Amino acid sequence: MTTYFGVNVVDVIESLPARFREEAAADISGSFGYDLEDAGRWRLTIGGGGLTLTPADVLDDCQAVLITDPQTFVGIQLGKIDAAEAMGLQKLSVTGDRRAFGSIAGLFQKYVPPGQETLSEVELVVLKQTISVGQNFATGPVMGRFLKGLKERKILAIRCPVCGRRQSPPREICAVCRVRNTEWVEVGPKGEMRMLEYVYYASPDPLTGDTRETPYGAIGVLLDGCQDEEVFWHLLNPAQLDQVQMGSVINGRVRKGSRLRPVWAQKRTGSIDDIQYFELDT
Amino acid sequence: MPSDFDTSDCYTIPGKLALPYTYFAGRVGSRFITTLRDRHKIMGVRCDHCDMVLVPPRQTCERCLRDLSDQWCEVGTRGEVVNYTVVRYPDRHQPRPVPFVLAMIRLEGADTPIVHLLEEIAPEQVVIGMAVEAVFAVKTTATIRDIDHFKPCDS
Amino acid sequence: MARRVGICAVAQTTYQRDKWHERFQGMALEVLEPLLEKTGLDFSEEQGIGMSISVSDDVFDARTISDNAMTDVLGAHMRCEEKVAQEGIQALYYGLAAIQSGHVDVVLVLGHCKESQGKSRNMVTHLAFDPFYTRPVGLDFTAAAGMQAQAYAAASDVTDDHLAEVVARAGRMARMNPATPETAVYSREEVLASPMLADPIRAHHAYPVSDGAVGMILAAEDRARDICAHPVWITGVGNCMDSFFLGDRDLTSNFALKKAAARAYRRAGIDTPRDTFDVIEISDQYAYQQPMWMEGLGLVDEGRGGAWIAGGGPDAMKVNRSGGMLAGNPLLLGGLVRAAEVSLQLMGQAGDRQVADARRGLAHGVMGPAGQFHAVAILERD
Repeated sequence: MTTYFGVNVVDVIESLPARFREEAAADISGSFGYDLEDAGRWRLTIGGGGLTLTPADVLDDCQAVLITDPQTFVGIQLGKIDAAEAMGLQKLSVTGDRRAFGSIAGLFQKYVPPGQETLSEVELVVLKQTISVGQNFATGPVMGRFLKGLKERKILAIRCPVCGRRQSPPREICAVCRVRNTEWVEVGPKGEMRMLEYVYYASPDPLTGDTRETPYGAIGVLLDGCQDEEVFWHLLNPAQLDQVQMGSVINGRVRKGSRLRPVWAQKRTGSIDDIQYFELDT
Repeated sequence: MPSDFDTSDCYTIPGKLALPYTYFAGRVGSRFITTLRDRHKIMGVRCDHCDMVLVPPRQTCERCLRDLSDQWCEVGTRGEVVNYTVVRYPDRHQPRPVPFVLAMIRLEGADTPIVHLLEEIAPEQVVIGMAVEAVFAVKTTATIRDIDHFKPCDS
Repeated sequence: MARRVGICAVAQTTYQRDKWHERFQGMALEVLEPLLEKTGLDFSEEQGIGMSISVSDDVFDARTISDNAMTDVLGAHMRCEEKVAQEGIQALYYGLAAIQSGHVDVVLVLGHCKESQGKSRNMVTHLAFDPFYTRPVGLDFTAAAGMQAQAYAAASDVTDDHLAEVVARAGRMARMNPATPETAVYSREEVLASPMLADPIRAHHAYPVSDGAVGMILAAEDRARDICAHPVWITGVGNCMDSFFLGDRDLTSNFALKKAAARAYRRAGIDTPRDTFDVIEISDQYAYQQPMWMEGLGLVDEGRGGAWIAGGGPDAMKVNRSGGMLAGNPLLLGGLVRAAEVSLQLMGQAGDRQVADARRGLAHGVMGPAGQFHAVAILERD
């Protein structure tokens, strides 16, 4: 018999009736299928507060069918794998009435492997929640002018009246010289790649709560008309992650980086996403 | 705004602050919630030193800093309204359409009231001192809302 | 006490419902520039501002570590920088400690809050609650205040009429304050006719949503006298944090405020606080809080809040001549604006709302649901 996480998959399935919480199922009825690949198929019928579980070859008549590999199934039952995450990774899918399947998730006590019953006395409760507060971000006059430029396919930088350095995206003041920036210049839009970060583990984007697709490349582009550290941060075309070269100037030794150009979004709204990403300028 | 402020390049961009969290109830909190969920019992912890029963339970007494994690005691599922307000402004974080009553309820045997929904009564009929009892939720949320709400009862 | 610490300059933006045209960095800059101009200070390592303290909040700003985005407009680039995410009056305490310890001589305090940025201020304060026990029932600071108001009004005979007078007066005061150009001036009848928000709190009893920034320069005594002619001395600060769960507290007892006030009075050498202050600024986020906090400060007899309002107490005791928080300051900045306002009074720069010859004042800040945290600062001039 095949075990995952030290647990027999059939034991987990066949213990469903014993773990059933009748009191929570009063309003629920229907038949639900479990298709666990080579481990087998089962049909779960719920009605009138009761439950039956039978092995089944055909699950076509079920209201909803959960399809996953046995390892993922056991992992979820033991709380080691997050179901939503597994779905995101396409290791798990539900055909039919997905919501109905969601409604039966809370009907079962957690599976406790034989011999570990005492540990189960301290079930540890976690709550997954996405906090979300709608925002209305002000651009102010300086960031506003820059973002409006993007709408017209222009990349603007602001220049310090004392040291002359260019900042893009622009800041109200030059932090080094502690004076208001005043002069606008157009830079790029093409440039040389000076920095590349391959990102394999993406943190959630705090502006959406969604996690980006990985891997992606965060890049620093030295736009034409800029110098030294005046790089512009954006994204690289994900298909070109392995095709680019990072430029540098170290102790006077110049190494040329790949030439890049921005790919403008079809519909531009005056946001940083008006540039989709940069790609090789060939 | 200074009178010479040029707003011609100013606008606003809609967005949100959104972050997925995994909150841990703690060992003491987990036991409180699983007992509420599976057995419909409300548990507190007793601090003998301060002579108080605290709900929700916690590991440490904040007054005397003693460890309370094994000082469990069951409190009643009935209690008394000690304070309340009627929430009349709708917002996304609220559990019910407005108006609804939020009450501070001291459960039998507890010293610290908890805040919960008071329903099955018109807001204008709520009075301080009235007896109420817990109505347990059918579906678990693994939170204090495993009590769905409180309702009036005979004292 | 160690070295004396003086407030040398104060600056603030206006407080308005929606500064849609400015991001918070711009608001801060509008405060920084006049502060530097008034004092002639810079950020040089030798004689300049030695520490910048940002008052800002991650959730209001929608950024983790909100001060990160502010270093340039705080002049803090490659300098010593601090942050206060608690009620802004705490920045005074930080600055006082940094100067008294001898670490720095001159401190910049600069707070900002853009309440209009988030869709709902109540949703922001909702996040201050526990995800298992108190968020699921929808608590936020307004609902918590509703419960406190219910209990306090009963204990101190504070009526709907009294609260209407507090709000009407705040509007009248705000008209004399150029920092609150948009504050609505309601008649008592209008307040009484406004709908309930969280009984017994009416819509007009709640401080309006606003955007703004405020800042000040603090300096050690010898530097302070060089920087300005009449520094305002911070002679005593005290604070106190009460329990997190509402049920663990007696909501009418003013426990934390009494402790905070006692600590500040002791440090300032004040034995009998009543009749001591020429000007008083308290953070009244909701109308009931004005009499309630006055009781907690020991400036009004306990249980007599209603009678105090009816007897014209707020005018007689020069309470919230600025209009107070009811006239519109964002959460987070309430206490810091109060300290700025008392400073302006003691510097003789309070314009139409100036109290003649004010020498000693009290500023108060509050944070957390139903007054969980209070801070009190005593300010004096020579």
